[in-house]
Amino acid sequence: MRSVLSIERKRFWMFSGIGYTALAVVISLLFFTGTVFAAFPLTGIGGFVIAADKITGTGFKLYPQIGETSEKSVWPQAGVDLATAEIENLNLSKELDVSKELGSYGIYKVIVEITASPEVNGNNLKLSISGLQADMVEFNNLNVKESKSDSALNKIGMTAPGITLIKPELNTHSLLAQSISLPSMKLKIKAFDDQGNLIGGDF
Amino acid sequence: MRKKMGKTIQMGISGGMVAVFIGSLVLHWPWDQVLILGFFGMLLSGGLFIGLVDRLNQNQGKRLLAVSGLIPGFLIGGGLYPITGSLPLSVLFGLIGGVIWFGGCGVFFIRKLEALQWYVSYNIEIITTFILSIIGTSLGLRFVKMIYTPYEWLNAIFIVILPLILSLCLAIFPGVILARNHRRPTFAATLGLISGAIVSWIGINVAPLLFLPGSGLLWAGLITGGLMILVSIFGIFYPQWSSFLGGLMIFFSILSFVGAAGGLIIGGLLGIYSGSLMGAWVQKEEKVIQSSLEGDENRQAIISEY
Repeated sequence: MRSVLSIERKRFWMFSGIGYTALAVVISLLFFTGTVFAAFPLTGIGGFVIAADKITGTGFKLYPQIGETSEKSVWPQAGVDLATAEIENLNLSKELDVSKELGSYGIYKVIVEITASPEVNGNNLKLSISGLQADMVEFNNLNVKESKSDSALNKIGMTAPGITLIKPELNTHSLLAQSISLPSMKLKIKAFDDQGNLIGGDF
Repeated sequence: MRKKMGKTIQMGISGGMVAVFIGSLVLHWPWDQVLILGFFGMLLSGGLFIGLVDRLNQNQGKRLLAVSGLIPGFLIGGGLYPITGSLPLSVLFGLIGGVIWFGGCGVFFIRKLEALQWYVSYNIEIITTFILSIIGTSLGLRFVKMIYTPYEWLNAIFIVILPLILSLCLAIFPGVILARNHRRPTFAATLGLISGAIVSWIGINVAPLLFLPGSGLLWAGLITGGLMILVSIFGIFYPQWSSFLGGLMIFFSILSFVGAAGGLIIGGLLGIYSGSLMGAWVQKEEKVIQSSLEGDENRQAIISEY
């Protein structure tokens, strides 16, 4: 392999050593300072559903925005910012239609699921959502305010220092987190037939 | 001995993957049983190779690439089911077609390209070909659905031909790129283009958010991804600058972790690897020598020093 690659072995190790060490330094800096980057976008995978038993957040902000979904390039959405969030029994899922490739083998749908429990902690979360439903939502000092602006996106906003959502389900199009910890994370790929019955993949 | 061991491991992994594919998608077995089946598939395929290797000479050894046709055969056979009406028949047809395509036509094309010095064998050829053939088939089946026609017979032809051609082209591609690698850093540049495309894809996806307040460094994906692509292209056209361009590639790949999540991490890591390859790349001197191969006194063969 080395001969077809036409490389000098010593120089290759030098370059990759410097490269990966510099990357490790940059990533550690990002994590330790927590200020440099606002973006580790978990996007581009279209709409995915964030569900949980309970979300408790501080520094809640909700504002209208325009964003992209898996169906439309431009679509009205709501932007949600949370300074901190504690999420109980998180379930992040994405449904994929595989009827074209695997329909003949009886598999029509695959759901990729990421679960984490008991409690996920995140800082500086930014979400773009196009739907939210919850059994109960509690706000502390809710402030809904209209402001005069030429831009429709700045006319209305909703803020609250504290928010609690019970059994929420958010149809999310992008999730950005400055830092997030996922304890006992599990990744499941569940396969379903045309009737929606689970064939396998759960454990 | 080491080469034989490497090929045995690759055959074993390919066999294991075929067994997992059959167990999970065709037989719908639970995961624990699928894993046991995969283990036996690995032992069987690797074992078969050890038995075969002494019988096959160096030239016939290429026929082992036929294993790459198994999963494409399954997928294409499954696609034919609505047309034939019989799943076992479709799968059988697909399997035979896939194996013949890769073991026959594929090997024929590879030998022709090798004779023209446009293909070179490499260490992990079997497993790379195996994986790329699956990717090519999936892409081909997606294209087929896009050009769906009202004529069943025409659809059947497309379902067979498009994925087969795409899978073979993709499977041969690394060998072709590596064959030109001694003149220009083509392999490093190709990896660089792929990593740049992944980073840019993240940038394009977050682009609508740039117009919002507090969008931070979300622009970084577009810029660093674009620069990574540019550096890769420069690497092909200006091989004499490969050390400098390799360093630049590593720099932009590290930057891609700020704002673009390093192209979902894989794009950035691949970028650093491609930058290291480009930086360490050396042009091989070529010698034109008189060859007396096959009794042809005037035939010239260009061989590299290595």
